[in-house]
Amino acid sequence: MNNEETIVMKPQNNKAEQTQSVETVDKKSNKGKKVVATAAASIVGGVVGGGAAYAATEMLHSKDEAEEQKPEEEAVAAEKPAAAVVDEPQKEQPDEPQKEELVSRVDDEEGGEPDYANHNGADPVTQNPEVQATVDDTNGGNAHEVQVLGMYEAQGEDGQTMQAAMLTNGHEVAAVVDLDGDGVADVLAVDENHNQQIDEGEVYDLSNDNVHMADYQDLYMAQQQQMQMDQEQNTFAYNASDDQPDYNNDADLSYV
Amino acid sequence: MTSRITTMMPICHMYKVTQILLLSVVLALLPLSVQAKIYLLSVGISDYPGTRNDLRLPHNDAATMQWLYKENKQAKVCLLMNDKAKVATVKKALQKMVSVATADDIVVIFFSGHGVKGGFVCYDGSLYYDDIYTAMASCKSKNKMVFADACFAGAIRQGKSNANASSNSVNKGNVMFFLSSRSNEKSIERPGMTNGFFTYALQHGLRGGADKNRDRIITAKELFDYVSEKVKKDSGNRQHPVMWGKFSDDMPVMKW
Repeated sequence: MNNEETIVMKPQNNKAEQTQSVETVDKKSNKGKKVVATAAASIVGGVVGGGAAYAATEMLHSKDEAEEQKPEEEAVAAEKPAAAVVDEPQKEQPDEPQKEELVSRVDDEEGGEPDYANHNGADPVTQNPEVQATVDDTNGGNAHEVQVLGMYEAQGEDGQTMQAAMLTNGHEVAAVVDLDGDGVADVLAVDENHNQQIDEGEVYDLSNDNVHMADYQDLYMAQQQQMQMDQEQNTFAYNASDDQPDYNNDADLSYV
Repeated sequence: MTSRITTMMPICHMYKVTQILLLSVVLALLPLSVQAKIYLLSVGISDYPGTRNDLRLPHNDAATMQWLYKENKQAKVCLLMNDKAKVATVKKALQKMVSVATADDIVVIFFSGHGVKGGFVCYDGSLYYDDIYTAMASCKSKNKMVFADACFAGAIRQGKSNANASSNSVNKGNVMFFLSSRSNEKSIERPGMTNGFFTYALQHGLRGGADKNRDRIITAKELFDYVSEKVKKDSGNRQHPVMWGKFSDDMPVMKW
């Protein structure tokens, strides 16, 4: 289904929570709370693949803007719970079809945006150099989004599984790492001095901020889906011809 | 001799009466025991991971279909919405449904959400057409229907390559796909509506709107004519539903 005219729709509960969580990263990082974690830095360097982590300085220091863009009301803006939604059709369905009602709803033409207006096969790494401290895209655009480049897992020396999320703002990269495998981020690593490695003072403690790695996983998944859909749209859908009849009740189903 | 026959008459008569009564009871119970069951798997995803791919109405579409079939047909329904509709879960539910359905049962699949080339997008990945073909091929039911409200849904007509789904289901009776749009079209939802264009027209049609001859039986052709006209009108001729498969024009889709 197309999300035409729905790009600006309200976030659902879990999305609000997700945004809050990501903001928490920035809040914490903005506190400038550093830990001397050389070991963690080396882990991060390994996990992110040969020291690919670059600085995301602004990401660490721009939480105030992000908080302004994300009023608290949005966080609580929630759609009906599933159970209520399930019941909803019962309340709305009259015994007989109401054609007049249908027409009136059809006439509800709202200023629609072009389909997939913001998602035209964009490169997964945004080209906008400005760093945004949130993954919030509920304002209708994604130009300032932080993207999740990938999710990685690695085994520690003690056999513990660590997970890392690689983030970028389009030209800089950072990593959020769950060192103890409990699903909650422990450190944020950034190459602030752009020396292509994570130094002692470039690892920030997130262990008290309750930042869930699942949020990054979800975001990563969403981006992958979006990329796939964009690709399909660009390479297939609009260029394809469909000259089959709309009604065919004698189709060749030998392969079904 | 005569008196002997005379004395036996009441006994024979009673025996026959008992036989007839027993037969009547058996005949009365028989239709209940072999009455066709209807199985519906209703899947709708509005809330995809992240916020970029979210839609507004598919979960409501799925709930509407669930309500419709439960209300009208006392169907056995499996409803999967949003994060409950992961690929593995949907496949499992699909497999379970087709495995329990007998030849006399009716199997209905409904999906609403994003569509890509070759499949429908569940919460965490794609349910490919091959998965549906495979399920269909292994289903004993002689009445199988697939309703899909997703972009490019008409592409399901374009064949597949999975050898696992190569059994000949043509011999297994009716197979009907009712798809929201052609293979090169998107399926549209719009704010202010309770369902996507296709599902909105579909549920109205199934609830009696499509019953052109007012015999309280919605046939396949009646349903197509009704829904197609509505969706084309509502979408400004941008979306053309497709009905495809092996079935007769007057195949009953719904008795209302």
